[in-house]
Amino acid sequence: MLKNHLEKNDKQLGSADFGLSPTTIEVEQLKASLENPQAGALVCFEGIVRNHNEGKAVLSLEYEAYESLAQNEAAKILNEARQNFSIISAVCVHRTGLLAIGEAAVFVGVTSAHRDASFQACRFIIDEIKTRLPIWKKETYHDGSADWVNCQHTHAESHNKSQPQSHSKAQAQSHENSSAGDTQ
Amino acid sequence: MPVNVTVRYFAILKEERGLASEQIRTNATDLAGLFAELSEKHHFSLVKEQLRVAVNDCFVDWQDPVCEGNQVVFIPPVAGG
Repeated sequence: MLKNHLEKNDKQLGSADFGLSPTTIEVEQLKASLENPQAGALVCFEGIVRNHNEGKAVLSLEYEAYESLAQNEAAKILNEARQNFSIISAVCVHRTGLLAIGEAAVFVGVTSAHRDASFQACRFIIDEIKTRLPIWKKETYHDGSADWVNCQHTHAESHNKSQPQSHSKAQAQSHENSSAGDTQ
Repeated sequence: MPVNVTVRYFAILKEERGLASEQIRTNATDLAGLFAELSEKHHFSLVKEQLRVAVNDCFVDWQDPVCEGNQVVFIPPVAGG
């Protein structure tokens, strides 16, 4: 039933719970797609493009995604959230392309009967999205320079299938000092 | 025996290679060997330890074999969110 509701009401998601959008994230539409009479809580997170990163004034940024792998990985993350928390539904949309300061880079919305599950699942989803999805961010600065975020400062650490956490940890650490595209 | 694979590039690797995708004929036996071969040729700024590797839209191990017709992507450090 929820799927039908999403299909009918949200063009950015279609029948899936995750979408990559080259255009402005339609937050109100996404929230409407989550409406459910069993829900007592709706928790939403929006990651916003801010105007500074590591002391540099950010002019704009661009997201590039490896779409098919991002879709696969996001589906896994949302399934993990459904298994680990008592939620009714969860959706996520991530932007691609050029973004200006103040624009939403990512939206996560979660509903549940009671608020704890929504808060926890929303936090879980955005944290996993940040570390696992093959999405890259290039910042352009006021001084005319540009950088792929995390591609200059990440130190060698073994990443492979048998150690899935190592990549996440490395990314999480580097995010403490970077990323104009979200709240920390 | 050499195999043919498609390598796709994203983000900084795409800029450094100067293209988004190419067909490669390689003698590399595993994905680590394939990356070493390409890195030697194109002088990528990232080393293997900073990357993950995906084959046919799934994350895999560097020790996995290079198989005929595969699509290989080297994943630079991600920065979504």
